[in-house]
Amino acid sequence: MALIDILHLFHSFYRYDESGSVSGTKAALKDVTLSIEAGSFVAVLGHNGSGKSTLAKHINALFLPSKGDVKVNGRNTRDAGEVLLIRRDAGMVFQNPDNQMIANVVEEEIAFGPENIGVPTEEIWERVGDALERVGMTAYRMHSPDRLSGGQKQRVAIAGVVAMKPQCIILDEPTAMLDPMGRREVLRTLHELNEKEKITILLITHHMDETIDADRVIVMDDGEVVLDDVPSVVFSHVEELRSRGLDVPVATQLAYELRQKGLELPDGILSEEEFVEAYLKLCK
Amino acid sequence: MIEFRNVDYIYEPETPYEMHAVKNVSFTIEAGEFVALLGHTGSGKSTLIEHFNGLLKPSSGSVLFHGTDIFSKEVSMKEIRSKIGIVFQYPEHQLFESTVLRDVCFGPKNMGLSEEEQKERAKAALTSVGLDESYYEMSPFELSGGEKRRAAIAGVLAMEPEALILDEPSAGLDPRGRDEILGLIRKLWQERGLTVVLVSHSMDEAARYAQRVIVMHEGVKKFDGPTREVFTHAKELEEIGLGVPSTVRIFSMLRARGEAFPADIDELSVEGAAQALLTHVLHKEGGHV
Repeated sequence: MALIDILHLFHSFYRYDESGSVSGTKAALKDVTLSIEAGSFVAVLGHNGSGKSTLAKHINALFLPSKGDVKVNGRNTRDAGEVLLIRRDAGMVFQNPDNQMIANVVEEEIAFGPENIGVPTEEIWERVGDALERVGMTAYRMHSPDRLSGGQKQRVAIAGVVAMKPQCIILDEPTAMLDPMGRREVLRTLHELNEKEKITILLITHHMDETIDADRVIVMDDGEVVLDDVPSVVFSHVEELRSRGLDVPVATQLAYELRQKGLELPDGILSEEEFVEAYLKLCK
Repeated sequence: MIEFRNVDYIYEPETPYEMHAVKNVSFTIEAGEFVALLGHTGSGKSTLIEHFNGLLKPSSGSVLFHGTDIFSKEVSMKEIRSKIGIVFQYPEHQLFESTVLRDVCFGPKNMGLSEEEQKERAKAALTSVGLDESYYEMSPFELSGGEKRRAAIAGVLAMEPEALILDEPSAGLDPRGRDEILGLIRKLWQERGLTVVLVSHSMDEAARYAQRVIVMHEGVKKFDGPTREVFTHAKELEEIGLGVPSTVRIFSMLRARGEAFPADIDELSVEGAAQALLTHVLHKEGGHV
């Protein structure tokens, strides 16, 4: 069984007029079927309005399906009695770190989650120390979240989820408001959690360069999954990605342009290093 | 047109929080230039732009507009602020009026223009950012992220500024929204001769749009020159955590591996890079025959 099973998921948003009756409907998700294996690092790519954030909110039972089912560890999000367990197993990190901070001290911020699910005090502090170490923020334990950089705040938010001992972390554009250094910090932390702790990562983003090292890239457009494969295959669809309002890595784009002009460069080039090696072969 | 002379800025001087954010920065921006101001968070670039229209007063040094110190008595700060328009980060957070048109009228209204003139200017500004009549009576909150940002830029354009200073106008937008907003800025620059200062931490953005790049690091002006020239300092730019555009990095790796390219190739755009790489291979093949 996969960790997350999404079956024929539909989601509609409704618009209401002044008298409270439905005046319009927008289908945000249209028949999405996906399963996500435990331990994988999956990136979901799509432009604004493609449905990627709506999808994320379903996995954490923040949204419930208009039609279809979402199961986390076999638990259906429609089952109100299971919601707390689902949220423990699948933690969520949002875009704006400032909207997620509630405590005055970093360690209290991280203790908030475990405390809410009734973890004994002693174990809470153990978990807090452990979570801080895993995101590399131990030195900031007694700091005020206010004075941290954006990247550090996001790592604290991630630690708050890690302290819940989740199987999966869903991140909804966690780097959209960060500078390049903050983005690198957060990405490195996520890959470490995935490799060392085997936590499943579901990263929602519109930065294609953050998805190059994922196990799998899912591209969404207009509420549907349009591509779903390993990064090198997904990014070989240069024209399609562009027409869907997405970028491809510069090295990939360059290889594509040169192939169009008749040079025999291989498909699936993602990094600058790969490009340079392939190009040098042509120069020999 | 705008000159910074030995500008220093210290936050909360003589307190435990004292921070020397800008250190002895000098430069001149000529009318009609498109300059990218680069640096990462904490480099002093945001502090610097608050000096452009006198929101911050230098701790020492001066800021001149057309040769006159903006803090001298004969200068009206109100006028400076309409001539030098600043679009802050996430400008859509500053939309507050009940309709888009009224929001854009806010600047001209503060300039003391008649209601008719306000509307005329607001409509012209909205047209230039690509928001037509159907948007006038909408609530700003009904707009998409990219549209809100364009409305916010229109709010500044309605004051008919000579220079537009934009603090990371593409932050948080998806690739399509980013291309739209930057394309719009380029158009305003080309068609109206506006002077543009684009604050960014994207090297690719700077490479694509700016003629000149100023790099800030730890409060100090580190580089200042034509875009191509500044990006030849790949090593130093990597060291301060900024890096260079992908295409420039590819050429520098190829050169390190012994491939020689002419100095005048266009390393800054994908199209230019592709052309140079193609010519290089064909030339080599030709050589073998």
